[in-house]
Amino acid sequence: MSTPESEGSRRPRLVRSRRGRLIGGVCSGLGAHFSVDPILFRIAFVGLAIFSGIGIALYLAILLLVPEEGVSRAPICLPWHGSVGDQWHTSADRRLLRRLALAMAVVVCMALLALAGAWLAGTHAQLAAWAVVTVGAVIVLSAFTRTIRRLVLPGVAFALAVATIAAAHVDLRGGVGDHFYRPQSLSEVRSGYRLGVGRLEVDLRGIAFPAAATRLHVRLGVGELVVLVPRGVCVATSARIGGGFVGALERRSAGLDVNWSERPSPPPGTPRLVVDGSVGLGALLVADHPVEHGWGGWGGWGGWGRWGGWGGENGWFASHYHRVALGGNEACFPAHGTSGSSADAASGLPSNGASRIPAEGASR
Amino acid sequence: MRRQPNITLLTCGVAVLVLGVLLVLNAGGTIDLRFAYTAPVIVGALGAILLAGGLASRRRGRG
Repeated sequence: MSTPESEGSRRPRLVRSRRGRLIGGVCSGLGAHFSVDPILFRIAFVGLAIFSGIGIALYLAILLLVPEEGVSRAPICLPWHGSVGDQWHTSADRRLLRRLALAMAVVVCMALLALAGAWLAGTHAQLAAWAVVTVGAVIVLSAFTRTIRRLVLPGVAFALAVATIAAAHVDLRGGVGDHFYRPQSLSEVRSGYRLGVGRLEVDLRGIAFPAAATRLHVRLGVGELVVLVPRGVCVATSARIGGGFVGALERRSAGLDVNWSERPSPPPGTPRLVVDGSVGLGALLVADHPVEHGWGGWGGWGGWGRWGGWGGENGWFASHYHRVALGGNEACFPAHGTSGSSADAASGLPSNGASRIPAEGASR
Repeated sequence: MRRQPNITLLTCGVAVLVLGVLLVLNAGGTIDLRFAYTAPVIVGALGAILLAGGLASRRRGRG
């Protein structure tokens, strides 16, 4: 390895390696400096990028502050580095700038195409699927002609976005935003409510439901779907969630491909409501009182902060929702008593009843 | 002499093509795609692309 050595030290000086580099030589340089396989740094950077985003910032910082192998100084010289003022002059710096600009352009192109793919898959699934077939055919063709190779990564991003939306069964038709409905009588209750992206809340607490089962269909593509039900009504929930959380009064579940169906047998004469809910990515909540927004409103993805990103104990699925009390379904299970009181105390389980009664039917 | 196709691009293209066909079948209601089936397919495809890329660069190194 031709990495230069620091004076009086056996460890090679930290430089961005020219050999074995994938992007800017950061990981191969770190690997040479610490005498470990660069793949470990690559995994760490990708992991940090996915789970907190800091991996990208850290990579860029090292890229700009650490000199390239064979070059005396870094692209950006900090005051304690000694020489400030003549930055971005060497050909290595210009090369790095060009490479960074190209990488940024590819990333932006990938993000835009992924968004376009997600939207297309959520609104015109058939068209999106054929578009992926076309992208695949074009990539196969480019393997022989060696043209348009730069469009391969954006094309793959498009295909992956379409596949994710299709696998989650996300339906983005129905608009975007925060929609709130509060019908005042049974005749005002629609048979179905739908939203593409955002927060959909249907407040049925002012409705006097009859003993015969009333069916309600609610659909949401991405976001948070809340159905507020009156106490004293037996609520049966059927839910299909591509990825996210479902909580219906005392019962809850989270993960991917959650397919949940309850079939309670209430005492005769009990008013019944059957909620048939479908959420692509996000949460479905059935509660007997208003719940705090996990989605955080449409004003800026505040829910992301509350969800705490993808990982950690406040991670996406476990998060906020498992701690939220949604109420009890004592009209269906009168013997259980009030939610969070006697039954929970007797079973010794948490007062929110998180795992007290497993959902019937298939989950996952 | 006839040029050899780029194996990495070819593998990548075939993987995307297969994914597209699955998506067409899903959109038509013939199959029901879910994360449980899609995720392993995608990870397997990415593995095949990486493998093809690694083998191709190895061959170039020898050549």
